[in-house]
Amino acid sequence: MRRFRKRSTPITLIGNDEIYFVLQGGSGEGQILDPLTFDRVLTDEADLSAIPETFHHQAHSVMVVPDYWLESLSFPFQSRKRSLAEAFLERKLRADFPEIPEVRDFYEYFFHQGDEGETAVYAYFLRDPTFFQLYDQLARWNLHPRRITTPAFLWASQLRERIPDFHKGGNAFVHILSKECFLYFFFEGHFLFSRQITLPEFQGDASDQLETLTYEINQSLYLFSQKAKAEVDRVYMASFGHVEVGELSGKLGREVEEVAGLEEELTKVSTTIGQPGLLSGLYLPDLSQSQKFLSIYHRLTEKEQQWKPVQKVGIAVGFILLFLLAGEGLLLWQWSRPVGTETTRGGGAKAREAVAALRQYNEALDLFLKENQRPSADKTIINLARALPEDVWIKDMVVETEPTPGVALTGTVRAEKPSQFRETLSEFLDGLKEHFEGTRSLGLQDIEVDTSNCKAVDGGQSCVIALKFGLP
Amino acid sequence: MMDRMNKRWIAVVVIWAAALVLNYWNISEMYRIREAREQKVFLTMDEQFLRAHSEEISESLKKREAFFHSAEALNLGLLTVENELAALAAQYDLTEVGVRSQLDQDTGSSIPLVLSCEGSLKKVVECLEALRSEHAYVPVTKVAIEIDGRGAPARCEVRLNYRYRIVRPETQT
Repeated sequence: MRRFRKRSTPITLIGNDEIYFVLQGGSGEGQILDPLTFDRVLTDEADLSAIPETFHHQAHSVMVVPDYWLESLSFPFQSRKRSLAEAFLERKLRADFPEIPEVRDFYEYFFHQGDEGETAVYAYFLRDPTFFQLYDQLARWNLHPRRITTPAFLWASQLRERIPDFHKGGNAFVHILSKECFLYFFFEGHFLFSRQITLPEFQGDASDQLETLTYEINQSLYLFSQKAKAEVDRVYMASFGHVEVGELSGKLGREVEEVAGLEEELTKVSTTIGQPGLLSGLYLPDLSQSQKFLSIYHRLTEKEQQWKPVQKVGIAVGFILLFLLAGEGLLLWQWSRPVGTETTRGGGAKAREAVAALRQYNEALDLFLKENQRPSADKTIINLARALPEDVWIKDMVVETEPTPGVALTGTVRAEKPSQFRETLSEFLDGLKEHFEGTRSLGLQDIEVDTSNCKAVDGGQSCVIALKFGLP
Repeated sequence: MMDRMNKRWIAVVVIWAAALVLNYWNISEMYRIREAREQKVFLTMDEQFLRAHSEEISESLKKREAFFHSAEALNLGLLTVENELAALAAQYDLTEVGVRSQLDQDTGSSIPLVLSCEGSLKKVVECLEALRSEHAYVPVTKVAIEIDGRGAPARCEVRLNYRYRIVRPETQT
């Protein structure tokens, strides 16, 4: 199976007021390019041409800055909420370094629990003004690194892997080269401070170098006890044959241990930077593995990194959805074409004719229905005549068929004695109920009898009556 | 940094907005297709119905024409119908015949008419019956009858609704 070739990781190293651009391969080997002095980069006239062209189109991953560009602080903090801690840190950094506003953009922190169970926040932050100038300049050229780390952080990751109790108590690491020595001090696994010591020239024996080294280590141990309020428990060393472990142990009066397997790995040429000064002993692990060592992000970069997976998933899912919907849309468009053409091609006029014919037919049916429901005036009059008893005759009659079908009539009723009125009117009502559906509920109380205008007629009496009822 | 992040957010928003728009378009297209198919089905049913009932429909449409009086002009139509009503009343021995139209209540398709006459109630009823069966375009809306006493002639006022259609000479039926 073909193996994918790992991309080279562009690294920027800072040391001796110079910038080194390194292209690091997958196995950690570095190709270092010609260094640039700060003067060439940190001027207003500097332009991108100052940077090796190989680096122009690379996403810069890591910048390794000197340890002394970094500072740390620790303070008690009850909460373990990151948002609260970050707000607090930014406020504190702003207050402590008002002259460097950028300081609050570059920090890293972690929660730390002391021996007595108290919670604290331990923070590293960059505060050297040169760093901010350099970062801004590189950002202007879009060459700013994503992460910033220091040699101490890189060593810490190596030592943590090799020393089982590295996270306990105080640890010192002595890295001796031919002319220089680097001292790193860690407390409970966290970097505290480092020192760079220039050793005297080697002249036959290493006694002068040992004396210097012993003096400087003792000074640093004292400094450690001042800073950490604790003693260094173990001293480790990687000397590459320059100083014997036993000799240094004897001089210091305490045991010095070698870190197992470290020197063998460091002697692999491909993993070390062969430059003088600070970078001379810099061990360069595979810096593409960001989780292995502590690094500081620009706060915005960190936010960007946090949101990046969400955004990428959003874009990917959106694209898939878009693709599926586009496919669906295409299918629908193809399906819709025959339907559209069938309804429009030649069928339009035909359809309109059919619709018009049906509408006329519907209107005709509505009209027939309405006419059928309309009461017939002539039939109403005939039925009314049929309902009239012998002794009732009509004077006025109004038959309305539209808009409110109904009958209103006045007439006279004749009776020989008063009790006969009731019988005659009941007979009239019965006749009406027989011929008109709308009169079912009519009663004698619905017939108005004008008793004040009753007249004596042929031995009887006649009175005027009035009645109204609706037609169904 | 923010530029990159913002650009990615913009890309996310644009892609999802496009997806939503496309989804909306697809849904509306589905509705359109369904509507077109339904319309097609209805149209087919309409055509089948028209073919199956063409005779009934044409008869109904002809019958409907009897409910409207076709005239080339309104005044001509009114003149015709007034004469027809007067003639009908005379046919049933009704006297004191008068026909007047209420032009101020013209709706564009109908005008109220008032027919007044006098005669026996029997003749009045017969006249109304004839009016209903033979002159469907003037339906009776109201009849007021006054009778002074037994055997006395009935004075009546019949309100009618004259339904008309103004037609061109060649389309007149």
